[in-house]
Amino acid sequence: MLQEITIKNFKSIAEDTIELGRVNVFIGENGCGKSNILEAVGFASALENGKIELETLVEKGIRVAKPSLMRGSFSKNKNKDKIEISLSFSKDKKLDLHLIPNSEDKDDIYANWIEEELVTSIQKLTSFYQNIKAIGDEKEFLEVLKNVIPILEKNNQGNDKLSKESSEMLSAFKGILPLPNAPDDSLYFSDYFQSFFSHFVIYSLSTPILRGLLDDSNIDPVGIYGGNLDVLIANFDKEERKELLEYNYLIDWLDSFVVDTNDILKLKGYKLNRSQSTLYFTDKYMMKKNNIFSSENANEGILHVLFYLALMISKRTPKFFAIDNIESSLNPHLCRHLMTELCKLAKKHDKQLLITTHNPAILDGLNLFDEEVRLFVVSRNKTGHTKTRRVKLKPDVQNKMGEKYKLSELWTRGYLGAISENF
Amino acid sequence: MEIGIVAEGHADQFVIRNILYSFDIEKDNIRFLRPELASDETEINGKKQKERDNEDNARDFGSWTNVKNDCESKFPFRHFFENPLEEERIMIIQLDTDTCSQYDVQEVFNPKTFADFQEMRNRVIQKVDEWLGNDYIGKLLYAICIRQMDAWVLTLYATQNEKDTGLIAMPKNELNSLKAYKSVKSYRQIRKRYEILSGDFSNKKKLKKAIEYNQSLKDFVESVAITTATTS
Repeated sequence: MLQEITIKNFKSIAEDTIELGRVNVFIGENGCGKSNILEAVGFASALENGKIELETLVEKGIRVAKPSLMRGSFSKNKNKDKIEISLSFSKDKKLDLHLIPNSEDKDDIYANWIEEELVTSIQKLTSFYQNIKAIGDEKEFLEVLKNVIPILEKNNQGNDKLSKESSEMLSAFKGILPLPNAPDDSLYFSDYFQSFFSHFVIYSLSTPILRGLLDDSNIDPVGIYGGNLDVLIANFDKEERKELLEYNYLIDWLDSFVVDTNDILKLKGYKLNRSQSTLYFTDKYMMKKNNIFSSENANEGILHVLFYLALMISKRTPKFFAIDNIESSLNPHLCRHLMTELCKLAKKHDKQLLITTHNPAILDGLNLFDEEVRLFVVSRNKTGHTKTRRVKLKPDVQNKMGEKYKLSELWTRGYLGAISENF
Repeated sequence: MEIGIVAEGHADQFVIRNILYSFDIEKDNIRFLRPELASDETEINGKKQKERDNEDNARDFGSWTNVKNDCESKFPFRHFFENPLEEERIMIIQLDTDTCSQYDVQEVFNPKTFADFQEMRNRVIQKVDEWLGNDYIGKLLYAICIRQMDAWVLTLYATQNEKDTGLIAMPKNELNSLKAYKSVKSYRQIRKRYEILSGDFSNKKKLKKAIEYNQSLKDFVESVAITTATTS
């Protein structure tokens, strides 16, 4: 799991450190920077071989702006050039990233991002390469080479300037020196990083996409706006399907759901040829002969709930992801119960979640005495910087919490913060 | 440390927040206790828009009645001090002295000296403690403004050799006549005007200078200094 993240100079976050649990809920007034926190995590997770591609950012649900706006645009900004993100997965798994735009025009909205270290290493290497005979310090040269070779090897396939330079340098070095082996302790080449962190995405559900009426991003197995839910469920194994069906009780009218893999029901008139979704629901109150609804016709609440449950239960979905505005389309009581169930499922299926919400009922589904479940208040300080505060409970109130101090009520009555003071 | 503010009105809360900033207290650790958040639109159904607008503005200035009700019901105090959230807590109670006689607090006749101001302050504090049944003692700070909060704000615009702004008979009128006030008049919300006018309280040096022009402000600021020094 990602245990701690320090973000510097990313959008509205000048500097902030967050100690994460397994399920992390962020609340705060509109525009306080909740989504920016999720995006900072997504930004770091997009790193591949020292580079962050623009396309990957978009696919992960990150709102891309020109570099001067991706970095913090505050007047007292000391490090104007780079975004810094430090990640601690455990004591021995740490990663410090210093990211700069990889473009001659430093404020090009289409710029990819690159690790500063990679640029300086390549510059250093080029300089060494040019002067090696004059300097004659082969030991130092090999030391730099040892760190850079694996990055060059990963980067020499593309058509961009960096790839071409990497390719040229590799050929040159191979001609003059024996290449050292790539270090295998680099975190972002590790399987752990690849399997856990690199798949991080921000889900932000859209009802028309859940209904199959619009296309989603290209991320697999499900899109960040809710696309391809039918395909994911169609590929569930027996156990996954059984577990998903256990939650039918969440929607009163729901009898069951089916995925019409051959799209035969469409031909029988159960939907117009507008929706691409092959997901159908049966209603327990209606006549058995005539009780099938397509995703296009079902209520949106069931589509949202089913998506979240499938996300948690599936072995194919990311181990670490974010959900922006989880409450969308859901009844408050359902919010509370769903949140409780998502906490259980996160533990059972070893998932880590970052969630934002504006619905107080979500808070009532959190057990803050559980160290794995954390609530954060996000706010702007007096200079406009996004800051995060973890909400902790007094240890001696475990058995005293009555209805009068429900977290939802503390929030709406202004005792928790996370509301506007202007109105 | 979390600091709650029960005040006559919203404008007073914004001024006090600026003072707290100078003690490096973060915005997110300052809670404006707002009784109106305990009610909803259905509850206040039937009130005309004009009445609502007046109420909104009235909330900016507020009244002793608001504070008295909060203290006697103890509702915001219970919710603030007894909720399960883990934070050290201090509550600030703000009152102007200009209407104190209507609430059974005897005014000091023709106050002129620092001792007179302190006596006035003590009488109001005594009344607040009485409303609260002497509960929460040690967890409260008292922002008692001699005459009006406006007198505190005026300290930022005081010129050298000026006497205590608590001696100004109509501080609100004095503040409204300032050039600085004209520049904030375009803000519809009065609380916003006071937030801007008192913005320099968040500057340590400017606050230090300002407290020399008002004894009741100085008493409050010194009480905040002692509390923040002992709890940090």
